[in-house]
Amino acid sequence: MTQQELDQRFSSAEELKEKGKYLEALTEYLDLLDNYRNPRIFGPAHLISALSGIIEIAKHIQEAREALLVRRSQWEEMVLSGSGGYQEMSDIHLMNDLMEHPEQNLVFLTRLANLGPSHQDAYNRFLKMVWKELASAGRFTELEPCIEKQTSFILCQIAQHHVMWDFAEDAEKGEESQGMLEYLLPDAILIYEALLALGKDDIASKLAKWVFECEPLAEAPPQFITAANKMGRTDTADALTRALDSRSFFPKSGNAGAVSPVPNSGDHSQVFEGDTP
Amino acid sequence: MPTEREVKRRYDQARIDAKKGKYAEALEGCLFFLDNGGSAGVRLSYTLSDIMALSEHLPDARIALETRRDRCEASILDGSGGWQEIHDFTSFNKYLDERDRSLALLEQISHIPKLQELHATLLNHLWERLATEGQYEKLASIIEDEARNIAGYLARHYVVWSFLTEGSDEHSRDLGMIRRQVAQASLAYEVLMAVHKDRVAETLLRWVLRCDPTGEAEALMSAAAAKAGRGSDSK
Repeated sequence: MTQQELDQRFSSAEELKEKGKYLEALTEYLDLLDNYRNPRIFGPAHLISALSGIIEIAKHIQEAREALLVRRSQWEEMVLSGSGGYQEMSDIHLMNDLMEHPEQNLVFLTRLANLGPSHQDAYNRFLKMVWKELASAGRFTELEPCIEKQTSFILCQIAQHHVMWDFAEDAEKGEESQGMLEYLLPDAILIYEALLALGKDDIASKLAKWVFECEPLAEAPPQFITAANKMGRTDTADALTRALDSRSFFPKSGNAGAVSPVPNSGDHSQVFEGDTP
Repeated sequence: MPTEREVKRRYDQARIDAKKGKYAEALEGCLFFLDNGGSAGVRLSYTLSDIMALSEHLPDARIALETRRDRCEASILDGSGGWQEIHDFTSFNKYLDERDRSLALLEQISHIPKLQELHATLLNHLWERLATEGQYEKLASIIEDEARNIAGYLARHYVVWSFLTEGSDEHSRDLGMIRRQVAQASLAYEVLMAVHKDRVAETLLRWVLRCDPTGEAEALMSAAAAKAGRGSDSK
């Protein structure tokens, strides 16, 4: 099947669903989901489209919900038996996310944990996928093995978007900034809370420094102070407040010349330590 | 249609076959992976390298790659090919050590109106070669996007590096990668300065200086400005 043919079949499944031909649409989506998962043509957008389509159909016919649960069980069993791997875990996570069943991810994580060292690799991989659910549930201790990598990951995303914001024309900056505030800042704050809970203050400080120096995330500092207070870390919250009042962590103003000073090189010594971005 | 797992399994087997001297079987497995959507990062690097290694024992290996390259070229010229075919075409030429063919195609399609989108994509793949040859004006339309991509890549790499343990193998290896990205950025800076895209040049410069743990970037960027004939603008 070519990319074009696959897209066409997705369109016809969508059309069947829109016409209320739920059973036929379900059959089409399931056939695509089960038999055409070739990475050359079937991308993540197709998976989301198939699962979302089936979830919508499930509002009308019971068979759709059952079909989803059967597949989730199959994928879980594949991971548990060792015949499945990253792909199946990613599918389970996405399905639970789309079905708004985040607690099911933690149930599966616990099942993997209970299987002990033989499933350590699978556990570690799934742990990275469900870090947000764990942090939101306050299960910070379990995040210990992956929190540094997760911090690095979120900072990479922030850095990437900061670059895009910086290169954008002025008229486009607002949209870029909005996306960062909407999608990246909540994750950065959740990670910050987890780092403080785990006593990883040096990494928390590094995270805060990067975020505070990110111009499009100008709304971040007060939210970090709230997060520190929420975690019972009034010392850190006070230090951040003092720095915010004195604006000591904000970039010093100045324009870059053809070869100019490093931007945002303000003095952060009052609040921050460790590596400098 | 083979599943992702099947495609990967066949390639794993091909690599085992190659080690055992079963070259024909190994070639078959490599080509299966190449033709059936093996992961992008692997198929256009390791797999092509494996096929060229097999060509030392099996002339058919090189011919198989040439055939696929020619097919890509034809699809680009008739307009049916897209981003993937351009990516494949330039990668095949790189491993066949026939990079000039990519430049020849670039020239060939530069005047065909219906292929301008593909022309821009091909330029993206070949910009470093053209920049090194001082063909700055040809790059004016794509260099801003390249600069942004390089800065994004460099910033992400710098973040990852800053989390590695100092003195570890990873730390040194990644520093080497950052150094290469800084060099690439200086080449993009040279083009930007040459075509007077100063706002983007300054933005790129800021990010390079911000994400340079080597202390070598400033000199490289100044040299790039001088090479572009803008040395007096660089302080």
